[in-house]
Amino acid sequence: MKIMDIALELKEISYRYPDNEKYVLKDINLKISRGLFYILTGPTGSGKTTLLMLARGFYKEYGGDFNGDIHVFGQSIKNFDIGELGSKIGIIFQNPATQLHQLRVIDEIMSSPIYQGFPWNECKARAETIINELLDKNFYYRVPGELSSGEQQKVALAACLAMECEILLLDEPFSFLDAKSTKEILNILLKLKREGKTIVLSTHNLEEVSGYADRIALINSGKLISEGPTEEILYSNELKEILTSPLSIKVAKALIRKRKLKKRVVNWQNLLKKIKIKSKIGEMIENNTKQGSILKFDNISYTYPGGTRGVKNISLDIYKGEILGIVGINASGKTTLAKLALGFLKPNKGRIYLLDEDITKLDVSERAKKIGYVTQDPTEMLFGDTVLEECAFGPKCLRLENPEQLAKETLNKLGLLRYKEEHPDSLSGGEKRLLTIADILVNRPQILILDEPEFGLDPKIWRSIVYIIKKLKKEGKTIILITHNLESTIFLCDRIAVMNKGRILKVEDPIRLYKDPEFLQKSNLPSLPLFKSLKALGKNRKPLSEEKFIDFLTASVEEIK
Amino acid sequence: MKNFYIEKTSIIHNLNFWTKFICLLLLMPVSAFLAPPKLLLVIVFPFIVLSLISKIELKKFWNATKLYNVSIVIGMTLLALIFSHGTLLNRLIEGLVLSIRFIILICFGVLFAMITNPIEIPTGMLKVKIPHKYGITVMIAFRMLPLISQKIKNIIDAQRARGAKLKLNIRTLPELIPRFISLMVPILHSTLNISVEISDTLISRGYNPDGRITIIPSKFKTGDYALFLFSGALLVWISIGF
Repeated sequence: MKIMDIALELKEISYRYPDNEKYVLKDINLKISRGLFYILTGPTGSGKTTLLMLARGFYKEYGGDFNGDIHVFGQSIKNFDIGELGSKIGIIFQNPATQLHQLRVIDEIMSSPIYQGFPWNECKARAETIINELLDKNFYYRVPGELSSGEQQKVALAACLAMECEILLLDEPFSFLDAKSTKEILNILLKLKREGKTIVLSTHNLEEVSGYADRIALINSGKLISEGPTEEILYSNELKEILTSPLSIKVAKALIRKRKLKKRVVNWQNLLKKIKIKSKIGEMIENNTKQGSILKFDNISYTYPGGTRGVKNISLDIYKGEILGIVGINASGKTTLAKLALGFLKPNKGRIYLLDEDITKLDVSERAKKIGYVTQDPTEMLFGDTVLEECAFGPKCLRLENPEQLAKETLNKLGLLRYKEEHPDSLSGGEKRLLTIADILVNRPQILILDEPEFGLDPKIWRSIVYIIKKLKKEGKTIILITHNLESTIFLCDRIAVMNKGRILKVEDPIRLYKDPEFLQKSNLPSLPLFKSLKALGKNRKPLSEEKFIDFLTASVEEIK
Repeated sequence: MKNFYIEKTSIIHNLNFWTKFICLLLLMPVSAFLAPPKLLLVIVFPFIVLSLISKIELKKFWNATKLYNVSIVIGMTLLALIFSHGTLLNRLIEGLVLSIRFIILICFGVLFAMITNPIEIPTGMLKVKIPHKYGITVMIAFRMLPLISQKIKNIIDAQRARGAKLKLNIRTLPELIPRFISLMVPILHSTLNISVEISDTLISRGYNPDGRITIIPSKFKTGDYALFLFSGALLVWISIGF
């Protein structure tokens, strides 16, 4: 292989952040060929982001101890200024909002060539070409704050491409995006790959990208564990142990074991082309969670000051002991509904009842004893010096008796008691998320609202959170789950409320709901390939475990095409 | 300022940011102290003409400035009555003249805000030979303030959902410090995170605060020259002629 055929080469890379004893990357060797769609995967905190930042040339800016070398098209990045390097290698970060620093889309896209000192006409021409190719002419003078997360990420991508870089690094670019926007960005990336760009994308959600990827590198604790063609890594035991395999791969493995599938597949789309699923005709297994309404929205409407749409004519009964998923595209009204339930917003119209008691005018702190809310981002909640102090804050505010004892009991229930004297910042991403759940559970609420609890968590940690959510359900808690992750709702939620443009379009069990592609299209939700396999569940309407689902599915596969 | 800006298609809106800004600077001393009382109404005239050309209804000016106007009239009249010399009528007239000066000043300021999109400020700074780091800083401030304020709102909501009463009263006064910390730590943490992310973005786009960047071309049109000429002439006429 010629040197110029290798787009990016990492040679013996080790890195330690300033004032940190531990190396976050150790002896990483990696060669990424030109024109590949390359995936970096690994658990949360495994070093993926650091690796991408170093490759983009941030080692000088970060300081710390950087050993080894990184070559871009055969030249060491040490020979370039970080700005110059931008014409070879660009980077897209996780949060689309903080990547846009200008006040209009056209200025944002022009910013890179402007900062490089290119002639004004060239800056303008580059921006116009990219907008016409990737976006739309009506984007020119739009304000970043008024764009959806998906649109913001597209603008960030366009701004990066304005530097005419050959290699694109993307660090968890879909974390803030709904499934529809994710698909749109992936299609843009595929187009760029076909044009000869090299794409290096870090993610722990392999299901959504495996169909696009040429090769995958698996990283854990700063070390390169394995690297190879997509299929090889997806079926490897290392991936299964470190991150857990995507569901489609688990199903494929089970089918191969049962000799119902001859060749390996890399995603649901591939799999569904090779198997025929027999529709199961069995007895109806009803959802038996309807134990009476615990929370009732009665014809609730809310409009934000300034006239922005919130929710309109929402009537919804949430049953005691159920897990209700609220899904919908960004800005469909999911979080507004949660804020109305919590009392942060007061409805313009309608009433809210908690166990038949009208709580419409009840103060937030009074509602906090009954309805708990876990935010998407743990950093919005955590402030204490110790885990115990953090957890005891709620009971102290609510003047509950013996707050520290309550905190210890709750931490014990969630397996966090051993960290009680630790600083919350020392916990891992998953443990922090558990601590935020503990912070709310300690107030003994009857209802728990979880706002995108899967955000930023790798599949393995998410499984442990799912286990805790199911455990809470068994204890009789009612859980409202606001989520973008439709796949997880199949295994977790008793019912799903689908929201669009501030209205609830339907409330239905996930299995029945996801079998209706026309409705999904109408509500702007993606029809995931996985949903086609749901017919194997027949009339079952109860959430089931992943293992049970795989059993059902593999038993229903009739023939291999 | 964002709250004042009214998007319209008019010659005044399309003027160069620096034309608007410099004319505002020229008209300020005229109305504040240069113009003799008899000529104050002459200054009101260009204000009305500019408002009409900018297609902004005078009612909107009144709504935006009524609170300040009424307070100024009351305040200035009272001050003149207390501290000025002469007859009651003279003192009242002096108070009224001072009020008119301030009201004209405010009206010009509000007109500037109503016809100037906040975007024009940092962009305008990047069009002249002011070090670009200042223009970029102002731009980032405009862009990030809504993000940070949303984050602060989320943090306050998150702590309220845990039962923290954030309204102050005598009963909750001893708990003020822990509650203050419960807000300040996440706010600082989030603000720092946002700053680091923006800084990373700027670096990745090749921005160097001390380096050279392309200067955005700044074009002056006939309208710009006309307004410059008019404001300059008014300043000269009032300061030399009277």
